[in-house]
Amino acid sequence: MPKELKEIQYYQSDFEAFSSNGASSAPAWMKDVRAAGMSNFSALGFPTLRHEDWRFTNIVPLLKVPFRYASEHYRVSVTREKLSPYVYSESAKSYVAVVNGRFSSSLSNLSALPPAVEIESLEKAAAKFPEMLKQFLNKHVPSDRSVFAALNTAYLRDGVLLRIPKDIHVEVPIQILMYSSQADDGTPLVSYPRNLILLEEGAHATVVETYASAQESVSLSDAVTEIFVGQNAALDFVKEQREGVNAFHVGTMQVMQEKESRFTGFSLALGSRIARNDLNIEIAGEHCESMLDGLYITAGEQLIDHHTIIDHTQPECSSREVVKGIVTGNSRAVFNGKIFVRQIAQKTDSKQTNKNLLLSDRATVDTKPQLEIFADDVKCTHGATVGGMDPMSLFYVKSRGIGEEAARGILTTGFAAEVTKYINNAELRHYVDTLIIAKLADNVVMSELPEIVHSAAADFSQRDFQQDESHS
Amino acid sequence: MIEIKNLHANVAGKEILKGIDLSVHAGEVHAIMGPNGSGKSTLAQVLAGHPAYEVTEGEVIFDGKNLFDLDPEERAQEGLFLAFQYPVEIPGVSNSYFLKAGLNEIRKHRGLEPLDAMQFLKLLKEKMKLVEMDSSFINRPVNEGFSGGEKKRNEILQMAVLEPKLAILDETDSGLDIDALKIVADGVTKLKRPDNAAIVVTHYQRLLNYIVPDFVHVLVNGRIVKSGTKELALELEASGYDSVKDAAAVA
Ligand SMILES: Nc1ncnc2c1ncn2[C@@H]1O[C@H](COP(=O)(O)OP(=O)(O)O)[C@@H](O)[C@H]1O
Ligand SMILES: [Mg+2]
Repeated sequence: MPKELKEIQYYQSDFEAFSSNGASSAPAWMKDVRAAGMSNFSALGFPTLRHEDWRFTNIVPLLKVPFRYASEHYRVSVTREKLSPYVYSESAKSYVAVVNGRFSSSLSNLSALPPAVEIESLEKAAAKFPEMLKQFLNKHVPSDRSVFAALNTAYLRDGVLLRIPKDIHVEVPIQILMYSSQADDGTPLVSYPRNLILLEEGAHATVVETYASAQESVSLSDAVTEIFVGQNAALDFVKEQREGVNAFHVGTMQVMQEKESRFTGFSLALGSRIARNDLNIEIAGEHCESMLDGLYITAGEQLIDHHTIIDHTQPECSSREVVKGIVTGNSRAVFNGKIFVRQIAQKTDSKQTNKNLLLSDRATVDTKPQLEIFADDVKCTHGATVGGMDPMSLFYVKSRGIGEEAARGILTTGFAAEVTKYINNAELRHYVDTLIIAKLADNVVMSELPEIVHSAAADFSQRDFQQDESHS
Repeated sequence: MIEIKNLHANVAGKEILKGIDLSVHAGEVHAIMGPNGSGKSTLAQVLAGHPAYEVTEGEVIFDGKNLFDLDPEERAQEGLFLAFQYPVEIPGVSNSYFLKAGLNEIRKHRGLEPLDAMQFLKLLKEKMKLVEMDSSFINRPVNEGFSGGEKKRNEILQMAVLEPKLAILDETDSGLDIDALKIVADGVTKLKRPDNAAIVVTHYQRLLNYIVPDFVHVLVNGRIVKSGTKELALELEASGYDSVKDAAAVA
């Protein structure tokens, strides 16, 4: 029997236990969703390197770990103290904690959140607002194509429902802190959190979704986050992925935008042994703006994989995707970015680049930017680069008396700053910059790193893209 | 201060410098003029230690040391400074951090205590006045989004802060309007001391009205074909480089 089949059975048998025990009280419609997820999962199976979407990401190290579903059966002690290093200071009174896939009110603090904002356990919401959940939940998740999205759907139970009602502008950033941990007895645990973020018409919000884990803990988070940005609504969203080196992460973000909406997403991917980020945006209305930027930094034996899709299904929308990577040590990075421009999506303006700074000759990058255009009146560019430190820049810095080590640090942070500048909120940008510096200092062993500064009050969106190399 | 003897250098396998001899003493200002592509920037970059240029022959003694034994940062620490013809943008790193890091490395090398943030800021503000730069540039990323003229001015600011023994200015005048040119020249003149020296690389005579050189050298096709005093620059202005090129061909 092929190995991947054996692994499937293992996850299938855990599913029997899951559905007959703790999760059995779910409403019937949710059980149907699960069953469909499970059958998709069984049909798809775990991918090998022969699978088109997994050519460069070998998940065998993940499959080898005997993860158990993080049910109530396993004791996991998590305290506020354990979470506090991962709480974003601006969200200290507006964050919710999800521990191994289960919403935890006792570890959350929502005291600064305006009362109009609805945020709570998805499991409770399913009982409270079944109609709303039936309308939105799992409507656009690619369970039929993505095995991990299917598996998450099979184990659909809890996570966060966040709803920003019509015309509400939430100033305070909201953090969703996703924490995973092995059991106290050392059993490796897998969890399947599902978050649903709804911005109704005209709503504005900033959301930070953080994935963290106990540092040495062996855990797998198979997460799905569904985001709906209603008409004329605007969401600034950061996915911050910094689980520990023994953790695994497979996550799908599925964004659906209605007309005249804006979604500004940033993927900060620093953590895990193997991390796979599927980030998908479906632009389903006219005059939308979609930004999907990000930075990954890989060190040691890490592998971080980004697969992104921006799907222009309506005319007169613009999208920008700038994803950069700093790839070091023995690590690997994978980027696959697809932009679809459907036939009716005339006047689409879409730009995509992936730039990689390769800091070790043992590290590898596999990058594939892709454009599929079916409309004729569009402006689209894309491109990718992989290269070492620019010798001219290095020379310039050294010519001011700064040694090799510090010069490399200066240019590396500069490379990162060229994408974090796209984060609109200044405090959030600073927070992300700080995490980057810490990652470079701790894992890439760079010393004497400068604090990142950004050009004041600059409108980066269009101007400096024109300076980037790109081809269509 | 610096003695260049029979310097030959290649770039991309092609010989660009074909035997340069030049001595610069403390207190002197030397101008190097010459047509485009004659090797002026190559000379400047070789002296500063750009790794793309390969020295194939000759030696350079800088302040008693063999220059080619030193890495670029060590040359800077020893007091060599190059104002680049094309300054590099460094996003994400503030001008003040960059300058402070450089200055403190140089101070460390000279056995001086590093300046703390307050002391450095005071120094920086003084020097910015000298080149009439707005204080908003302190916290802007190095050269990012600067106009051509602002970049050149920023080079002079760096020079003013780092206080080199030997400053090499590579076409610092190009792209400057007349007011900016005066400010830059003024800055350079104010920084001149009996114990330092400057090599001013330029294409036009214009700058030399403001920075008066003690010696002028004409570089053509990788060789110094003529040397003289500041009158030579005026001559060149009147008769162009062709006359010296012809002279070089005859010689
Ligand atoms: N990095 C380089 N790679 C290839 N050729 C170069 C490089 N730098 C300079 N050159 C060549 O060397 C010659 C001298 O250039 P340069 O020193 O810049 O002249 P100048 O500064 O006098 O205008 C030119 O022919 C130029 O094309
Ligand atoms: Mg030149």
